[in-house]
Amino acid sequence: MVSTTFFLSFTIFIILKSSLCLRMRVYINFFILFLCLLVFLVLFLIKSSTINHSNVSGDLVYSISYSVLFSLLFVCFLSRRPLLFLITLELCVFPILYVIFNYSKDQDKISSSLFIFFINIIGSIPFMLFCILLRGSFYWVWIPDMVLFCSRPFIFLCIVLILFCKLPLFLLHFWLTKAHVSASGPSSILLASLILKLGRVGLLKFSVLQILYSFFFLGLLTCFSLVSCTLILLMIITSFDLKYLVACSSILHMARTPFLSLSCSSEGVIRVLIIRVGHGVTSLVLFFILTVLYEARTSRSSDVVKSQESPTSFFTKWIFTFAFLNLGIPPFLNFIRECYSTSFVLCLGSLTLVFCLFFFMVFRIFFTLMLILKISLGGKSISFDLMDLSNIGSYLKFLVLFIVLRPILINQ
Amino acid sequence: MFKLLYHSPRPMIISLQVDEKIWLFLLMVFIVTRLVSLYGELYIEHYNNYKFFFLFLSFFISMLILILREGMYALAIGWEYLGLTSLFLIMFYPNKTSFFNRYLTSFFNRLGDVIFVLCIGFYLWEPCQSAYSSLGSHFLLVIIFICAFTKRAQFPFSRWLPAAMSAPTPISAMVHSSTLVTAGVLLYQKFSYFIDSIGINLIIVAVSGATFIIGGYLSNNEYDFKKIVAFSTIRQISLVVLFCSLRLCFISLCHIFFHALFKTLLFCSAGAYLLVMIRRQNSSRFNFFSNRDILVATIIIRLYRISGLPFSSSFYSKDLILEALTYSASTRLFFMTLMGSALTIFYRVKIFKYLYSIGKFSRANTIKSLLIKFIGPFCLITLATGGIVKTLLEMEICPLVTTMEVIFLCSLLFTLTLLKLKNKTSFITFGVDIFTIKTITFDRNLSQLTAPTQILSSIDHFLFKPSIAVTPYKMEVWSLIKRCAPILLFMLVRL
Repeated sequence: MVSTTFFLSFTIFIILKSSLCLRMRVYINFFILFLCLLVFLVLFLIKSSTINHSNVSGDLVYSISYSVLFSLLFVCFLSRRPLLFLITLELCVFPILYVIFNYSKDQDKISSSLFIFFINIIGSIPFMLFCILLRGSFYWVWIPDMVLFCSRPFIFLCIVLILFCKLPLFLLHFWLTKAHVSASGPSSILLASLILKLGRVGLLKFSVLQILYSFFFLGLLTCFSLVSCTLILLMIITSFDLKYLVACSSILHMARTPFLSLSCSSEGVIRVLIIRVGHGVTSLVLFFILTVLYEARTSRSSDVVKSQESPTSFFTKWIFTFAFLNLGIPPFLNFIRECYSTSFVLCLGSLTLVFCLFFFMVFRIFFTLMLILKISLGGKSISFDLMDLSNIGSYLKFLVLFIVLRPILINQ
Repeated sequence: MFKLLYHSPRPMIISLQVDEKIWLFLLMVFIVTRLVSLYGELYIEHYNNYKFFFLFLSFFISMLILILREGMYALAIGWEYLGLTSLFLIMFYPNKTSFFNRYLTSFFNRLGDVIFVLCIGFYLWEPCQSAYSSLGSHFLLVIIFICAFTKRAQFPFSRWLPAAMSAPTPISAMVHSSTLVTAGVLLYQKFSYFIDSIGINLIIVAVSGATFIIGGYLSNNEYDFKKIVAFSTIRQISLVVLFCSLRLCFISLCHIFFHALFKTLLFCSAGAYLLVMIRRQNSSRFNFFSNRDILVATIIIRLYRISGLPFSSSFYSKDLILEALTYSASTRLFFMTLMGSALTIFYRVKIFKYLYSIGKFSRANTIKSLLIKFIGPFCLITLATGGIVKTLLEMEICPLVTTMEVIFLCSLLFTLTLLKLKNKTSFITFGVDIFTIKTITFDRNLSQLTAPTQILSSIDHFLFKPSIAVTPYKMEVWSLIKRCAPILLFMLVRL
């Protein structure tokens, strides 16, 4: 039901788009293509994760809000003009806000929606200023002049601030954890897989404009991000909410991207793309499994949701594989990510940074083990009715293969 | 950019590296996995067979990858999956005692993995090509050797191996004999050609010697039977690494091979015992010399072999090198190994004592079917070990055996068999054990000993110069201790 409405609205929007906005120039990349593919994978998981306790299966407004969000995401990925990008970027927040505000049962939903709204608003006005300046002065001028224009620190901050809010960088990340805690399962899947990629898409689009000034920020950003990684790890270990755990792990991934992307080498950009692709798939499935658990047990606390090994082997098997894929094991994509980020930090040549990286790479195992052991093992378990999970196993196998095959495809 | 990771232009084609050492490792892994699979059929009959065989196969395959492939990326695959499967191993029985152990083992394995990732990151550092400069290559090799320390469970990282004992016994037999622990030695062997270029040879000797002594001390304080055995593996492996760092590579590999076989049988017989004792691992509850004499005899034989008394198979590898150390000038090294082997005898004696002390306990019916299946192949393979190694490496090894030692040994055997054992089967197994060594017939050729001693003395020359004055006495001390060891054992057993 839900999926059919999604697909219908999506196709209608695309047809409308192609008929009305013929003048839109499309920005296509390998990464963008991957994201467009990821939308369909997300759709399948959202369809299969909203069954039991949620009363939204027949609700038309709910499905329409998601369809609007998907179409906005498509436009945002493919747009080339900064103003269109900004508008769609900001509009993407509103459907999620609506879903949280109406359908969430969380007590803190008002404060969390305020957080989401205001932190996303921060960067938009400077970016709008940048758009206007660009349009007024250098609309049809060739690129080197534009680069000179953007090398001013103020303009650079104008571009980057909104994208750092969306990434999210540490200290601008509070909206993400709040949103994940108070949102329902499908919307958190969307947040982790697609909406977090928006900031990255923006950095990729305006990467030409950042070249000159980015080198001044490089050392500072690496220090900041590595220190923030260790802080987030300490935050993770104290928490009990499983969704909060996975959200923090996604922030942990994001914290390593900005300094790689601002290095502005072609390899650095490819490394960031690898990080994003790997994180996109793994966090998607982790959130999906958590939502299925929530539907079954009606709780997300790690003390209630435990000892799932005795009723079914599904949770243990897939949480084990995807938590370790998230950590990075060799033939898969996330391991390549680990190698390249370490080589980059080694290049910088400071021992403290290397030690910092070493510390948080080692101590990430505790987070992974908490996720696995708390869910799979534990005390006595109560049997419960699960939904039919026979389809999803094969789907997840496909995802694992997807991650395996990616480096080989790139190689050829 | 991705081509660097695969180490070859076509990624999926498997390139094999085959060597004498590699052949030995392969043979060891195949034999041990076959034996453990024979044993595992009987041990785990009802509990979660799917999980058990998944573990079994993953250990086997990851070890094969680690042995056969070359290049950093392929090595990393084998390395990481060994760590993952060791985590699986501890998750096998979901109980609260193994909860802390999971965190411990996974932490140490992750430490090793991260160091390996650092290696690859250093290797991929393209702008400077730092891996090929002199300083960079030194750094890389030091990192690799630290990485090998973690998987071998040597001194600073040795806590996890006894903690990993909360696993099913057949798999832990496989881990301790051939797969997980020897992976560290394998990595060491693969990079051992470059060991001369960096000055960490001395550090490796020191660390492995320290592990040899500390492990002996800790195993004397333990009462869990499997933990005692775990400490003994740590010690044997560190001894092997010590010999490797003295460039006695082939003899140390022989020792690994022997060690793998006797450790497998020790674990299997101990596991059968645990089945009988309702999985109670406390060794003070073990009562031997009841109706199950074959089992008892196998365990005694293994203990006898590990302690390296004359005519056992480890006597031809371990004691040969100890003897070589007596010729050399390094007194400190000699006394370090001597102290370690003395500690070995102490905790063997402790186990023997427990075997004798407690009264009879009979539930022999459960293992009657078990014994027939797994003792036959084990006996065959213990017969063949010396021959295999001899043909494979084409080497002639020659320990010295005096007539007095033989007499003491025979007296010990007779007292053990005639006084305590009622059944004659144990006597037969002892006889088989002696017969194996008689059939192998190593050549006595003293000229072979000269090569390792020269190397040892050359190392020794810059390590311990003032200790040369003591050398004439060492030979006498060594021979005296070797003669006293059976008497000491005998006396302590009688007490």
